Parts: sequence; structure tokens; C-alpha cells
Amino acid sequence: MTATAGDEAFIEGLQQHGIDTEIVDGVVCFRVLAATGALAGTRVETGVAVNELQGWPMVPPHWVHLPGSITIAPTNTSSTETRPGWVRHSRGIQHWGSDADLVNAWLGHVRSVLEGAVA
Amino acid sequence: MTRMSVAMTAGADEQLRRHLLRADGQEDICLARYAPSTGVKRFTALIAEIELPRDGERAVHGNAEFTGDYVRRVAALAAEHRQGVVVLHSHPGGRGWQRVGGVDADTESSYAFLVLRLTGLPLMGMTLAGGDRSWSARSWSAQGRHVSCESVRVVGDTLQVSWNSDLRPIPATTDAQIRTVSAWGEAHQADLARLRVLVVGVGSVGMLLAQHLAATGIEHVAVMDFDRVETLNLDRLIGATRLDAALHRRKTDVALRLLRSAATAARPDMAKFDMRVTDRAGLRNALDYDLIFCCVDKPWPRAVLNQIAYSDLIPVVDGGIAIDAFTDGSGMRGATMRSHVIRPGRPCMACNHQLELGDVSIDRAGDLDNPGYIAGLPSGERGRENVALLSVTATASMLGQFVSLVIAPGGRGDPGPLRYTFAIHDLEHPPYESRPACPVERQLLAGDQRQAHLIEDRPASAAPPKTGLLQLASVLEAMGTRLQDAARRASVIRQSKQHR
Repeated sequence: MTATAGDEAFIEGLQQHGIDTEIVDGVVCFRVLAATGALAGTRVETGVAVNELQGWPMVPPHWVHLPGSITIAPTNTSSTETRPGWVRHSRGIQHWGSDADLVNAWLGHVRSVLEGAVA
Repeated sequence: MTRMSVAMTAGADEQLRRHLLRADGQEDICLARYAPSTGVKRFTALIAEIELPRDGERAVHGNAEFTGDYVRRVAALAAEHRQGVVVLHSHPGGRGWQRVGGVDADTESSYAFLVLRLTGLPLMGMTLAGGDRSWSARSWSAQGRHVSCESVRVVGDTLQVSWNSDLRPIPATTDAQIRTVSAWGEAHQADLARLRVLVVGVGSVGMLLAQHLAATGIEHVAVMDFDRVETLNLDRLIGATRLDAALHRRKTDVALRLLRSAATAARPDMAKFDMRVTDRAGLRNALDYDLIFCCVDKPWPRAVLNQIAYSDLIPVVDGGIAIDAFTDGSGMRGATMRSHVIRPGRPCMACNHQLELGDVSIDRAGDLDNPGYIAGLPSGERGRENVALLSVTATASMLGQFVSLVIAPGGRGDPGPLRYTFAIHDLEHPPYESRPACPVERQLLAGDQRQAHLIEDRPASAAPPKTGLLQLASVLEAMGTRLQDAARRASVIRQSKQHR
């Protein structure tokens, strides 16, 4: 049965895009190909907290989880409620619901966050 | 006892009228599927899909009849979608709420058990009176007994309610309402006064707005808020006193006091809910209402109200004011007021640029109340500016949207989104429309199957302890309020009797 909401729907959506996932320490982890910026061409590991996916797809997550080795422009960050050694970055997505493919919209959002990464 | 009701979009109403009101003047019949929407005191059947009869499934010969296969086909579809079944027929010459009896009752009751067994939901029966296009409805038990609905709501450019006057009698107008009734007449007043209206959030806008609803004669106005009055609210919370702030009174208690004082109905029935609409109990109470005013500014409660406007077909009148202050505190650049009715056929708050769905998660996590998190935001995103002198404009515009939706002056319903820009004092109709992929509007008529993950349960906040002097002041004030209320009630009842 296909999930229509919640973390299962998010994971199924990523799989439909050919992206493998695993849940580690309450974070749905997957890789995104950075398209621009210092990390362009790199498959970067990223994640979303399971408890932030309860409203998916109507409500997107807020925090973008990245390994601590990746430095991006400073905003609110937190190293709690994520994987050990990772940092979650406060990056709200705007105009949610304009894209028919919401998984693709989230992937695009993560790529835009990675665009500002410092190598 | 649960109140029963039916709601449908104006589009469904039009499609049903086209089928049921025949050019040859004969009765006709059809079936539909409904989605249940369950509140604390009200069950609403939301007409979700109209299933017109196929060849051979119904016969028209003055009266109309249908086959058991037609019922079984629609009931199977309904069961698949976790929905119920409605049997609809017309009384071409009828006017007003139709009582069911005779052959109509026998026909509906004969399928009640079958439909309940197949779908798990009660069979609903509906009648369309062709004389004035009003609806009536009832639900059937497995034993073939029916319970009359209280109302049938049609939501479109206007909110049209067919009332069962046996269950929701027309309120007597009072002398205090003469000027109001003369503006739009007895019939509109009777419709408006019977609406159950909920105001979510009784801050500067909600507190004022609720009093205007009560003064207009609406019998049942309720307020929902979990917050308490503080001194910093007093510059905007018109009607709240220093004692309210000192006692940290619930805003709902202050609102209830003001509502009772402002009410002109002969039998006002005001209510309060000390809860959040994001809690399960808050949401279920909200589902009991015909119309909701959204007077909250946080993304999470706004997202919940935005959702039920579509999923449960409860129009939400939303609005507010955004003040653009210079960041160095040296003045004000301007301000913008917005108002709109959130309903099918109009853009949702997100499509209308009045809600960022991407902000709901952080609100839900409590970060928007976390000073540390707020300090980390860019300066332009921290603002909480509010001014009573300006918020009254938002109140006025929201009430204007309400009057257009319910009374439809000049035959025109709600005007769509409005934006008023201070400084240049310009009123616009911003051209926002529903986005094709909007994940909120996709939940249209989902009812109890709405995406439920936005809701949770949190404990109510405890009242701070009262000191001895404040306790005494509170008791004296309560005595004064009771005397005032009693005198007022006696006056309204006396006027009401004279009026009759």
C-alpha cells in the first residue's frame, strides 16, 4: 500500500526518485547531488528528522541536517536532535505547495542550501 | 445529543439542482457519497461525490424510484473510500424545510440497514424543495428510525444555510436590534442570528470582532484561546482591565464577560474554550461551528484552520495587519491590512501568501516562542509590532467579508482577498489564485480523513496564584458584573416581550 502522508510517504517519494534512504538516530538520511557552489558535483549526505515529517506533504520540514564537516552561512543551528557529529540548520522553505512534485521541491531546497557551502 | 447536519459546495448544490429540478416538473432522485466530519456536538455529512443514476437504475413517473443495485453500487464505492451514502430527491413545488413521511420515508428507511452494514455509516436522506431551493436532511438508524438534521450548509460565494426551525428556531428580534434588522431585513437576520460562530484567538482583533458579532444578535458566539491577559496586552485588548492583567485572567474569560455585556439576542448562548485549535479537543470543538474567524498569527494554528476550511467545509474569515517599523525604532514606514474568506473557490492562506507552510514545523516545535531562536533570526523576521489604532481596520474588513458572505449585499458574495495599504491608503484586490498543486486544497471534503498529523495534545496552562487583595478585588468585580448582567437581561427580555 502506498503511504500518502508522514515519513513513510516522504521515504517512498525519495525512492521514486531513485534515492536510497536509511533512518539513523531518528533522521531519514539520503544523498543529494550538489549542483552549484563549492560542493558542485559531490553527492552530499543530508537528512530530515522523522518527527518533522509528521505533516508531510502538507507541511514540509524546517531543519536541514548535514554532517558537521559541511560549513554553510550561519543561521540558527543546533547539534541536538540530529545524528552525532551532525548539525541541523534552520532553513525554512518558502512558497511550499507551488511544485506538483513536493519531493523534488525539497531536493531543490537542499541543493539551494548546499550552494552556500564553504569547501 | 449529537446534532446532525449536511454541508456541500456551491458546485455540488448546482449539479444536484440541475439533476433534481426537472423541466417537466416531475420529482427526481439520485445518490451521493459523503465524508463524515465529526465534532464534539455535531456530525456533518460532507457531500463528496454525486453518483448520478445510470440507465435502468431509476424510473421517473411523477414520483421517482430507484433500484437496489443502484444503492449497492454506490454503497460499495462509498465503503471503498470510507464514506457514507446519501439518497436525494426533489419536491418540485415545496418550500422550506421538508418533513419526511409516507413513501419517501419508507423508501429511505428500507435501505438504512443495508447501507449501514456496507459502509459503517448511517444513511442520510435529503430533500430539495424546488419552490425556494432550500434543502432538508435526516439520518437513518439501522432500525429505520430517522433523526432530523439541524441544518444544510451550502458554501460558495455566499454561505447559504437551510435551517430546520423545529431544532433551531428563528430567534425573536429585540428592540436593541431594530437598526440592524432594518439594514437587511428579518429573513437575513434570522439566518445570521442562528449561525454558530467561533472566534479563534481573542487578541486585539478577535476581542473586538467577537463583541460586534454578539451586538448584531448572533445567539451563539464562542471564543477559543489558551492565553492569559498581561499588562503588555492592555494597549490593544479593548475591554480588558488592569485587574484582568493583574489576575492574569484568561482572555476567554474577559471575552465572555464582554460578549455577554454586548449581546442583544433575547437568549444569548455564548461559550468559551480554553484550548488551542492545534490540540485534538480544540479541533473537534471547532468542527461544531458554521463559520470561524481566524484571529491568530502563529503558523501552526493558522495551518489547522486553513486545512479545515477545505477538508471540513467550514468557511474561515481570516485577516490581520502587518506593521512595517524601521528597525532602529525611529518610526514606521507603513502597514498593510489583509482580509479574505478561506473556502473552496478561493485561494487558501498559503496560496494567498498569508501563511508559509514551511514555518509550521518550527512553530510546532516551540521555536517561535524560544527567545534564543528568535534572536538568531534575521532582524526583519522578528517583528511583533501591533497597534490598536490600526488593528481595528483589520477587524472592520474581516466583518465586512463576513457580511458579504452571509448577507450578500446587492447579491454579491465575498469579494475575494483584500489588501489595504496604509501610508498611501490604497485598497486592492490582490490577484492571488489557488495553485494547482496546493497540498491544502487537495484535502477538499476529506472530513475525518483529513491529514491529522498537525494535531496533538498539550496540557492547559495553570493560573498564577492570586494574592489576598487581588482575590478581594476579583470577588467585588464579579458581583458587579453579575448585577449588571441581570439588569441587562431583564431589560432585553422585557423589550422582547413588548416587541411580540
